[in-house]
Amino acid sequence: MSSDLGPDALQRLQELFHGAAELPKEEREAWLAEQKDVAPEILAQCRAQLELADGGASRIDRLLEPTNVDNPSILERIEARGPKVMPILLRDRDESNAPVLRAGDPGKQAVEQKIDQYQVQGEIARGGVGIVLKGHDVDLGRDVAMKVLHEEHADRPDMIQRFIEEAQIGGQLQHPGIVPVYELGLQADERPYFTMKLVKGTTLASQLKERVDLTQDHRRFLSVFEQVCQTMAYAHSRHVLHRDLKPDNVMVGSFGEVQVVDWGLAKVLGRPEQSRASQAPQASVISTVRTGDTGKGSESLTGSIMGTPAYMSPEQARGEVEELDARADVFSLGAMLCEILTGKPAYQGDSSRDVLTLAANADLNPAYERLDESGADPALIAIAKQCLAPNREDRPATPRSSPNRSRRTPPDSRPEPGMQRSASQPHDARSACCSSSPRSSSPDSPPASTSGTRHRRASRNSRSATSCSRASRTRTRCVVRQHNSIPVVPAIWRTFSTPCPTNAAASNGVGSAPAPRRPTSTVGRTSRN
Amino acid sequence: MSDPAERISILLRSGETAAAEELLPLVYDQLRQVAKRHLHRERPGQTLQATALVHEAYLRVTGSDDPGWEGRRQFFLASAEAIRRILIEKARRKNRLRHGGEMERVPLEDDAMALDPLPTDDVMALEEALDALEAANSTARDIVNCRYFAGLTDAETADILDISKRSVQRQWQFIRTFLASKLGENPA
Repeated sequence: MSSDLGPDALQRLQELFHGAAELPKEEREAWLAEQKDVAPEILAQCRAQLELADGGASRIDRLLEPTNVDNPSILERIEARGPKVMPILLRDRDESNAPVLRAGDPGKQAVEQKIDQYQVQGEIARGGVGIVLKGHDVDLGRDVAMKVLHEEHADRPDMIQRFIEEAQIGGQLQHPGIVPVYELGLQADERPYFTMKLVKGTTLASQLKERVDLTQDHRRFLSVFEQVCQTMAYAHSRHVLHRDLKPDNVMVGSFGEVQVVDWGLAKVLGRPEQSRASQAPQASVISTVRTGDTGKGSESLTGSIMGTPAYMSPEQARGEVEELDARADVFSLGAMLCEILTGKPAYQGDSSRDVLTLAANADLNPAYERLDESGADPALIAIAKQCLAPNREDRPATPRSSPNRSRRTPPDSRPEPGMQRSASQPHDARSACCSSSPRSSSPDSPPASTSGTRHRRASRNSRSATSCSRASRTRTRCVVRQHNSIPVVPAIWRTFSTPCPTNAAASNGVGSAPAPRRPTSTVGRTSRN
Repeated sequence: MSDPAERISILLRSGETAAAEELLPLVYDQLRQVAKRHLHRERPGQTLQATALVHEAYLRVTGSDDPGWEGRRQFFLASAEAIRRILIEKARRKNRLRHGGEMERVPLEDDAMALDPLPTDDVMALEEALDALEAANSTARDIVNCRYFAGLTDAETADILDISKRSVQRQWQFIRTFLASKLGENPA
């Protein structure tokens, strides 16, 4: 392009280039023309370089920007085609609530790296099998949480399988109460990662701890609890168990957002767990990272016994992994309610092991006593105790457990022929379905049609997930009607918080659950006709 | 002594600048080790980005202790230089093979070969252009080393070279367009 310039000429070229580059484009040519003492070849070279500078990404950039060679961000690709994109950056809130553990990390600034369009800003937490990083999505200008598989497990198919499973469960559960998974990706070294919403806020556990007395924020905590119930009802309707429900795993944002986090121990009903049941003990991909104090039974266990002892159902504590169903989560919900009402979870002991023993033996009398003495609304106490029933058949995922059933039953909620389930039918799907009412019958609830669509999709997914299971075939017939099954857990608050329920409130709580196989957008509405 | 990472770590912490001659070969070795590990795990044909290599090497060397600005500076400059040499070496070898009339794609066992390849001719042209540039502006070479060979960002480069980020960006703009025109690129 240009003949070789000597050092002096290059020096001059540099000055000229910088001088011109500072100016607005249209003034450059005039300015260059004024520079009388410059050799023509230098001027020509300068003009050529200025043009290259304006020309956007070129071959040299691909050579010189090794970081972006393979994965230019979307914005970079758009800008490479011409248009300059002005980024929007909304004011951030709660900045302090997303602590990066290794912020002061040595040379962090210098080792800041990029994974696809994400700028890695530090480490939030580290579990046995994965690492949670704080990332910044350069294109969308938002912070995300990134879970990355540990390097040492990069070659273990079972770990990879479980990791992907966690991402898929999180990705397919789409509910405001569940942290959305944005994307699954591969790092440069082929390790998988997935990105999620970065949850900012504090845990329900820490908020409960900060209470001065049990009456403080009582209603608010019950409302948080109700949202957790709704979330779990949704998850159960999609045949997913959480298995580690506890206040530590509930994040409460400053604007009333309530999210159930840490689905690392989640199980899809009807799906054998070869990677875990047989290959315990470090089965959870990300062992609960938000676990608080250790040694008091509030940290998560993994392996054949998974979960957190103080909130664990007896069957879970005994390691009956394959038998677990939604009622194990119901128990944990009861333990949470117990903590909200009495300040303590279901079990208390000096060590994890002690608590686990108590849990396995269903030593619940102290909890019942505490509940009785709590002075809380008797109806809430009753519900908590029912949820904490040692025998899962007795937990309130079934119609007989609803004390106010008759009062709330709409006049025409007779089950469709063939859809009725007997209350005694011991089926794990029952609780999943029972607690899955999306309350679509309420006029002020989200449009039934959308929830219908969602559930239709949901049922397809869950069907494929369980297609291998014979049980799933019977399960799909299960339409649980108010008449024979109140959607107890999500309705706990709805049912008991209003001493004299209005009609609207009543119908709110009694919408029919969608049928997994034949959900129609009008399930809720037709049931009232 | 057998572990270059350990030795580098000690050197970086010693606070002496004179260690440069000792540092470079160690860093060079270490980068090769890291590259080797990657090479053995990845599919054949897969290449490695210099950036990833350098950053991983850095983490291995420093662990969780900050070697301080001087240590960082030394490490990244040495790494950039090492990567540059590896690339040139690789380009020369490829050139020789090509001129020897052999097939263009040959299986190369060398670990360094896993590095993300630049077209051979470009590497050489780049070298020439950089030599010319360095004569006129001594920081130009450092900026290219940091920005390109070590894959650092503008901010990181500014930190390492102790100049302003704005200055890095201005100079980088000049350097990249200069190199582009040298590599025969015409304005779009």
